[in-house]
Amino acid sequence: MAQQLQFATLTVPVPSNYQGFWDIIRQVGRAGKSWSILDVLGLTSGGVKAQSIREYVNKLLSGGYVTTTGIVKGSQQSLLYKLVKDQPEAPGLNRDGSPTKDRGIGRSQMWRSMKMLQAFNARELALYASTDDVKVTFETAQQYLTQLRRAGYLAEVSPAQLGGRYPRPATYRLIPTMNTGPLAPIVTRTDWVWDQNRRQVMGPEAGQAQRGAQ
Amino acid sequence: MTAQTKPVNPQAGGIAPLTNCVAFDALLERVTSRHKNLPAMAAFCGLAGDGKTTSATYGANKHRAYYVEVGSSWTLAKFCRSLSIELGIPAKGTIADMIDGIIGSLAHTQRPLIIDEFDHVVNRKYVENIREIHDKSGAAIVLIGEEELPFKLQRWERFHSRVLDWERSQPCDLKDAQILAKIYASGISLDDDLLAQVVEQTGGNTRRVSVSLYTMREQATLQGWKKIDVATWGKRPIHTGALPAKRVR
Repeated sequence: MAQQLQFATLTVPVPSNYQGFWDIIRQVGRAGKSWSILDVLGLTSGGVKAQSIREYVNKLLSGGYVTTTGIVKGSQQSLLYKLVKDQPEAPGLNRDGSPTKDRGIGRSQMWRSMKMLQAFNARELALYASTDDVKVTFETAQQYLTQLRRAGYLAEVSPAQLGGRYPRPATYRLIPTMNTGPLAPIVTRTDWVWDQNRRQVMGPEAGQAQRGAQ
Repeated sequence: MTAQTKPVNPQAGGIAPLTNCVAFDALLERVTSRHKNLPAMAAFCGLAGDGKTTSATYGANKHRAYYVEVGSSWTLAKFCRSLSIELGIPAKGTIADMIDGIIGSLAHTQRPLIIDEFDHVVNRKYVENIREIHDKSGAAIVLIGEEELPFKLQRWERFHSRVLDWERSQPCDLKDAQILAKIYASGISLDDDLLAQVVEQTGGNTRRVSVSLYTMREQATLQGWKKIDVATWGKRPIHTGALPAKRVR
């Protein structure tokens, strides 16, 4: 039984450890509650070292996302923390608390734009999802849309028109029930689509992951 | 495949220049940078088809805003569930529990919240709950609604007085049409006179201008045109959205 459970956790790829820590911190720190490293550790799926969490929490501390509120009763050094800056995405931070160069911003911007736009093709999405700081190229949008379509997030409004003088990319819309939350679906290196909100693999591979877990 | 990868205006920085994009972005900027003691609500109102939501994507992405589009059938419970999902917090428990969770999350965020189709909130009369969320969290909230929204909200005096800034969306003008042409009719050169005619006949309705430009591109594909002016287009219809003749008295 225990072995099976372990196997189940192994078959689910989690692309970002920090996102996992951050989700737990948001959970234990809800409504301004204080928490310790051990509280966070207790909710991880196992195999996680307290030191990894401590390192991340120290970055959060330097970055101003958490503050210390005291010491755990009866302990000498276990600090209590409080969440002071909330956001769904795990902050990517350097040791000194400065933000790392976040490669996920373009993806977040596409995801947000998809929620807002009624229907869009890759060209429109690239334009609407671009800001002065973070540009989204047509190719990036095209790839992302193809993956999300395959994973079941998008409905095709009109098909692509290939060839001819003025080829046109396919037009899609986000299926309302597939607006799963704030975090943009991630395409993993193995081309699986990972939903960070539902914490599951989406699309044709979802069945495989489940079968593997049984 | 290669033709579509080369936009006329290669990645000129999204669609920042559209009048409404600039207006909405500036509104978000004002509301997120206001003095702490001031209320932090603003509204972006205008006629259907002005392209309010589409224009809002630019500012929303820049400010990494939370975004909720209210459905006409949404009750307060459904609103709370959807907003909780958007904030990435559990959408469980009673309405009061969810509102507490929402306030807790928004109180510690520096991002603004955009509530689109706010007229539905007014029609379903849970305006006061939005005020509670605003007052207790201090989060910047921007409403998007129809032209009449400011007047409809007058009934809720306590809410109305908290709206710092009322901004009207603008109809599409020639400058906007030129930008839209690059998006919806990329690869084809459209004459300014023709664009001006489209703007005039659609009454500056951004949605209809976009559809018209798209139709022109389709025609250009069929006819093999590289550019279109008033003469080329001739008597072909422009998507004005006018009612069928039978219903016009």
